[in-house]
Amino acid sequence: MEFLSTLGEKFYQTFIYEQRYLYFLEGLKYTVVIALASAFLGLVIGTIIALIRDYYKENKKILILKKIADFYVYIIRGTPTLLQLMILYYVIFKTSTISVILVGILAFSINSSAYVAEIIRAGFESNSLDGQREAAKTLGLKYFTTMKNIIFPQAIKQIFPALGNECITLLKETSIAGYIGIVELIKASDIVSSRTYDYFFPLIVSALIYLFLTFILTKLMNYGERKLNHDV
Amino acid sequence: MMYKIINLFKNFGKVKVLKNINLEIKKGEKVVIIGPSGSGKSTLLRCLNTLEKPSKGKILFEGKDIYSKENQTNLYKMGMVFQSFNLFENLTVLENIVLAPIKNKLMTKEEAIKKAREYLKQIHLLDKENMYPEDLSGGQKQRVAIIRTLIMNPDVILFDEPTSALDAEMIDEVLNLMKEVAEGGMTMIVVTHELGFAREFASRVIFMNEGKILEDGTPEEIFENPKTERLKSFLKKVR
Ligand SMILES: Nc1ncnc2c1ncn2[C@@H]1O[C@H](COP(=O)(O)OP(=O)(O)O)[C@@H](O)[C@H]1O
Ligand SMILES: [Mg+2]
Repeated sequence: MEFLSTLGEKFYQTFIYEQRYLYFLEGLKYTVVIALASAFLGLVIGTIIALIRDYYKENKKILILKKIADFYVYIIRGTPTLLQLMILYYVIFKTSTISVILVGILAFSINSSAYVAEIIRAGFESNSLDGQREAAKTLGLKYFTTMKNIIFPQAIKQIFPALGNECITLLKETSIAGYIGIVELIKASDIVSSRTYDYFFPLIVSALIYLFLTFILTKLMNYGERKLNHDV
Repeated sequence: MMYKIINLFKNFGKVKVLKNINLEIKKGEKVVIIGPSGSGKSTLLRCLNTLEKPSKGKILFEGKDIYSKENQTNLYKMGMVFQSFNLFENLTVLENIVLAPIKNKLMTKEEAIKKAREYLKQIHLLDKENMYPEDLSGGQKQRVAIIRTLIMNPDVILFDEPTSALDAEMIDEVLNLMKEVAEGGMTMIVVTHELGFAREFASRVIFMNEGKILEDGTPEEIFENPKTERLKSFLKKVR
């Protein structure tokens, strides 16, 4: 009985007292906002990088641009995300008044874009598309027309599961945003724990929220995959 | 002269695939290229529409270098039909056919669809216009691929083993369509192992061996009176 009542007391302290649940809601909000915005921007930047690298095969004049794209991917994939986040915040935007949330979004977008670029590259280079590219060329279709109408729609279908994984990775990785002072879920639970001297409830709840988010993401991805395969 | 190929060489790394090809092809000719596998037939064909870049030599198309601006912006003038069809898998049959004429602004969308349907009717596939390539048989795919090329009104069509990936019972439907296309006066260059077809279809047969043209003549000359031992033994093996 006593055990249950301390548990109840801890629950009360963690969530109800001083409306502490608001910390979790706030944390959830920033986690979701940063993850969503970064996933979108990462996809956009990653696609551009993949296109530059792919177009180089067609037009060797863009060598410099292609080298820059290669170097970008190399740097991003070769260093920890946390380091990128901190360099962006403590070095590049040190004196700027830009909101820390935006710095976070930028860092995660850049980070994700490098991985997305590699995933899309694999899609573009899939053997089954080579013949169709050649057919398009002999039909007088220009590079970007071919990419937009033929290669991209098919590549997306093939790499959709990998992109889904990248989204889930990204979602979880936003948990390091606390290092630059963004109150996302982990940071929120940390703040609450430091008040209640209890880690159990805050951490368990954070875990459950992450699980819930990845559950939704997985469901969405499965649905999207079926949709792409004309099964819905 | 439609094609003038001058001292053409092609290497892949150290492998010499084409060794000094010289060839002229006139408008309206039906050229069949035969030869053992690995002799460079596909490579030669692919040089003719710049899918491969020659290592040395020159190709003139309609009097101009094939890499000239004019020829490069009108690559569809040299149509190609592939062994593996290469239909656009994400597009329906109709979309496959109309995409290029619309994007190249040869026709409006309405005109392209109308023309595509005429062709589809001709090959008895009108009822398949909304299907995807994966739902077609190999023979149907290849016939759609031929139409997709035809609608661009090319000056020449290059065929690289158009029936090699087909089950035996579908070969004829493709060869028959090719004959129909030939009757329309199209210049055609065909790589094939169908020697019966070659004999009946070709105005000229070229025998390639190890990257060189060994013989070049009428079907009678090639099939009845082969000059080289290579060709003799090749014909014996294929028969
Ligand atoms: N892209 C390529 N890279 C390297 N070697 C190639 C390539 N394409 C063809 N080859 C080689 O060139 C030779 C001729 O090939 P190909 O033109 O396809 O012959 P064919 O069509 O007469 O069978 C073969 O030895 C083949 O392995
Ligand atoms: Mg071949």
